[in-house]
Amino acid sequence: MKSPLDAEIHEIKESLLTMARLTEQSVMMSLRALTERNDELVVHVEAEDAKVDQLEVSIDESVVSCIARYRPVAHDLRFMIATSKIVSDLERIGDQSVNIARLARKLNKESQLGSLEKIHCMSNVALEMLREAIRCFVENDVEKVSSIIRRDDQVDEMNRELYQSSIEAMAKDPTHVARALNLLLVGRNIERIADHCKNLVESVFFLEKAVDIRHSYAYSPSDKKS
Amino acid sequence: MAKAKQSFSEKESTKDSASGALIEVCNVDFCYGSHKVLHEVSLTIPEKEVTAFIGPSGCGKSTLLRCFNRMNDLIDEAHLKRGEIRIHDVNIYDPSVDVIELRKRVGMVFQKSNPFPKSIYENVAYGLRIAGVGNKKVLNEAVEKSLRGAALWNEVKDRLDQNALGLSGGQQQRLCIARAIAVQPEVILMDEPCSALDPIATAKVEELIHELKRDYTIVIVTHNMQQASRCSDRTAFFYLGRLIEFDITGKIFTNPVQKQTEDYITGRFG
Repeated sequence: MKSPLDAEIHEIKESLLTMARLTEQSVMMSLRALTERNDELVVHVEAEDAKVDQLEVSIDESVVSCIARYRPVAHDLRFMIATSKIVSDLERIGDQSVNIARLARKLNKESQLGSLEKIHCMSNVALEMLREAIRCFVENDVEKVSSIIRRDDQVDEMNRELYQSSIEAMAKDPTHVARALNLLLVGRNIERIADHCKNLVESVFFLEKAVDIRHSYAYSPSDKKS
Repeated sequence: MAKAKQSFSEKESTKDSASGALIEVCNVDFCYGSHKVLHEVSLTIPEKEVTAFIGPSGCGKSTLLRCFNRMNDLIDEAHLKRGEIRIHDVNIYDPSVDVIELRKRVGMVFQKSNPFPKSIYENVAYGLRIAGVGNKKVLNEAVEKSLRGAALWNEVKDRLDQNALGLSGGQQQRLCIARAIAVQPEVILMDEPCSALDPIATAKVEELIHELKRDYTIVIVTHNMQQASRCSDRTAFFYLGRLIEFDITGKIFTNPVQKQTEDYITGRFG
């Protein structure tokens, strides 16, 4: 038989997973809006973001209520703290998707500026980071945390390359400035998504290991409880 | 010639001031008849801190608490089978120990308040009178100091001659604490001191515990997890007569090492 707190935790986890699914779909749709030059998808992304925002508020309310009613300790307490941080990161990822979608709408009005290969590569890595981060949370698994954090560095590097090539494109033809700047902003938003995925797995690590690894990668997964 | 009874105050100068250890429990097995209720318990209780003992009923926490002033001696067949309990490096189960002196140094507050059917004043003065203090001025000062120490003075100063049984439950419990500190013990043992109190009276006793630890070492047995986490500096978790985990309270309630501890404090036991 589940305790009332266990039942609440289960419900919060379910809501968080719904939020994660919506966020992942938003990221994918915003990128499709760009690559398929499809403005209809922008409207969908905006609509989904409103749902994500509502879920953030309702999950946070549940967390506050659980803390007040059950005064959780140990893993339960860390679950509440980690959840509150994770929903904040997911909500921000949702916002980045909206930004990307709206930039896509602007870019779709003009002819395409060269290949979107760099954006493709960046978004693939960021999306995979998001999926794996959520998997870490669902499966209480911290084994992949370090590899996800390392991939954030990879996205940062790709963003720097995108910046360089955009500067070159702008220098070559000043009529490309507006489009190149918008692409740069797309890259910047993907890079921020990767940052939030990194934050997310840091929260999962804190949840499972009770160790705060933010701002420091010098950690080694410790033994499980005896 | 009989061996002189050992005094704890004489030993104070020898205590390890660096570690601050006051009570040392070393490999203790304790039995009621042939039934062993404590198994190889070892822990060190630092002075002027609050140490909480938690664990399910029958885990041995109250038995260990009552070992510290040998209250278990009053129970037939209860005996320390193995190990030592040292206070100020004196083995309190040594036959040379003066148990009356030990109980002066290690006071106790029980689950249910138990004031004597006497005036408030006489309840607090009782221990001092037994110790031979007869000087009215000394008694007056001690009673006021103890009642102030127990955060009760302002509530009873105008009715010290009234019967203590007329006080509320929370006031009676604080009176018992005043009675315990009147003889200036070093250690106060509290066996579920708030279990019969309402939340307001409980909060007052908890505030008092926080104040008292400046001058006393406190060991508290509680079934209330929140109380242990609010009041204590260190927490010991017992299960089936064994000490499972003993650590800083913040650590126990955020990241206990042992799964049994986590299961107990999160209410998932058994």
